[in-house]
Amino acid sequence: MADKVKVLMCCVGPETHNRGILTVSSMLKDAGMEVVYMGNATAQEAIKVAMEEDVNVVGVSSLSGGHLGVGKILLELARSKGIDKKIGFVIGGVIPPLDIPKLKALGYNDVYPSGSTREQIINGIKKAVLN
Amino acid sequence: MTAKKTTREIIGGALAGKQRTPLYSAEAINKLKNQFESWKNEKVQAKDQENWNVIPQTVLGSELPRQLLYTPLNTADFDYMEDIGNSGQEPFARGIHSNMYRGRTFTQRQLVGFGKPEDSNARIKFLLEAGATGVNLLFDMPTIQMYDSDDPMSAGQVGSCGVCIDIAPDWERLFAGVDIAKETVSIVTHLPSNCCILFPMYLVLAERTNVPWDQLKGSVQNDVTMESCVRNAEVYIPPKDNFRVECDNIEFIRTNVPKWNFVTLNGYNLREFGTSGVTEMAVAFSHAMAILDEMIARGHDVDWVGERIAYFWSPAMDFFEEISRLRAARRLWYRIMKYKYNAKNPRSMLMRCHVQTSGISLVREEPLNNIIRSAYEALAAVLGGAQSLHVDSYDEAFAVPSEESSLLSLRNQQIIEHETGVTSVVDPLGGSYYVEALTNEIEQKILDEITEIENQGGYIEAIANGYLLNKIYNYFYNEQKKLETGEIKIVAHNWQKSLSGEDFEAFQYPEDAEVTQIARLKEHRAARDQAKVDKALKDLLEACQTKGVNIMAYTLECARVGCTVGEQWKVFKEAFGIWNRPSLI
Repeated sequence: MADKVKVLMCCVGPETHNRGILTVSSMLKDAGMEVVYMGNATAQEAIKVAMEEDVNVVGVSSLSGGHLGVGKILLELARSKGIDKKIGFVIGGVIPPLDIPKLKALGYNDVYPSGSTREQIINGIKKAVLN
Repeated sequence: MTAKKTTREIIGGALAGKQRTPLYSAEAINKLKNQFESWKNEKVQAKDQENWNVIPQTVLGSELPRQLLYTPLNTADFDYMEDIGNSGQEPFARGIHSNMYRGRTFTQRQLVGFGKPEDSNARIKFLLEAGATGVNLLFDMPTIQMYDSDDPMSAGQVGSCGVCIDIAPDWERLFAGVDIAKETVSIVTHLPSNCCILFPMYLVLAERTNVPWDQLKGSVQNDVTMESCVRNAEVYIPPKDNFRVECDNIEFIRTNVPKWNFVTLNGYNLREFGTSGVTEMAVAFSHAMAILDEMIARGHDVDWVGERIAYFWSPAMDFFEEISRLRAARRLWYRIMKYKYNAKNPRSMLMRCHVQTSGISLVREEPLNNIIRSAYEALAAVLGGAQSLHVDSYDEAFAVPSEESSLLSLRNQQIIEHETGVTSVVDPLGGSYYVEALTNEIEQKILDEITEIENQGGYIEAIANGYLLNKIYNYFYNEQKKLETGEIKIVAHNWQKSLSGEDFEAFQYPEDAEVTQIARLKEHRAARDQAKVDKALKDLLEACQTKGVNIMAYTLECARVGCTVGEQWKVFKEAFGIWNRPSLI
């Protein structure tokens, strides 16, 4: 495992809400992780930066109901680039309970619905580091 | 050179010259003072004396200390007519109308927006048939951020969390069978840019359904705070250009759609982003003053603009603070308009507001508890004298509201209006020692923060230099820690923790919105007169690049000839360039 976990934080698509992504990014930095903060990006841009920056984990924030749609697009692209087994993917935000298993089935290592604790997120991201 | 006076100094100067007539005699106050001290020493337990002031720890609270008991000593120089007056009378602390809800009840305006225009059309009609008294429209993320439904950026998000709109004909589908000459319609165009693009499409709908523009009633948001500070975006245009778009929208709508509220200063989303009720109001008032300054510089009369300015607030959980805040804001706005801007029309001095209960105070655990939270927040808004209300639904921590939960929110409002009796008496808490003291304190705190913003070099500068963004970020990260330690308690979430809600079946978005909308766009692009579209977009670019030209006249032409939302946003980006917003992380 890498000495310092490096996480790309992004919203895929035009997500307007950012309290969540900012809060989680700050939590990760407080926990000693390195955060590459992208904000809004297309799936293509997010995967490109994840590869260029050689991150361990990609964290996606979704608060507007697009988690399944954008979640699928992002992971399919990761798979086509052959990085889905090298980089961990986690997603959080306003996510209905019944969608959590669907996101895990898509290939997300962990899912953080609103209300998830700092410990859950930090421990989950550490576990999502694959290499 | 003399320094420019702050708003506080101007108001302070005007009030200092006034003769005050205190309600309580000096003799009565002195007598009370002596008796109060001995009561405190003899009757109040030592630990309560030590903890005389407590700071309520609530979601989005302003942390104003509260005393154990309030008495006339807290407002010893209380002058009834100067400080609060009667309702509908200066300084309007008690309400903007003399008869308040006896004359006109609060508009019951539940947000609607998901899926295709037809999906939202059905929900609008459902709520109107159930007794809603206004329409309140929310757009999906691609529309808010001005990407077309077929833009790669929009993939996977079309029609979630709002209705998707790409072209003027989408508005005809959205309002089919709804009489826009009759209903008041709130169009939640948060951003000046999307207001400038979307509102003209509504005007085109009016043209095509033969409703004269001067009959249209409703509001847009049109708020630079939202576009440049609150929202998250892939790219931003510079705040000063964004502010120009905002003021162009105001000017155009004021001139051409006279009954329309051309700006709704959005404290709500700023506060929900994460800040106190005091900051929410200080920011909105500072922004309103920036608008007035700009409009006066453009040669307009202060009342021409002032009489249609409206506000949008978030009532959170600190019940008495929320009530006091609305009272304080009405009085302060009156004083700003009267003493700083010398407004003449009483309507310009009225702080008119829509309120929406706080979404961020709602949690997933035991979701039905959220109905209770929203009811308290809505009651505070009504006791505070709001003009219009949306009650958040109990399932909003999971998804957009279902039909059932939307109806419950409407019922929540109807129960307050028709079953509790609270609307029969105006400002029922006026004169409460506590509420009057808190109202005074909050007004001063708002003025403190207005001064802070003025010290940044004005409102737009406070956005551009990152001051505002940093202030909010520090607030909400600190609040997050308080939620983690349990200092702020949320029942079933971090206190009496519960797992109930983990199997909640949330509203499912219609899945066909993206496919349908993309097909429609393709058809639309093939059928339209491309030469007219190209010319309209070229003219829009030139208008954006020319100082002193009102942009909305050009987005109107774009709407008429069938330009899409995304095509116009591309023009804005080309004309104004990209702004690198100060980074927080």
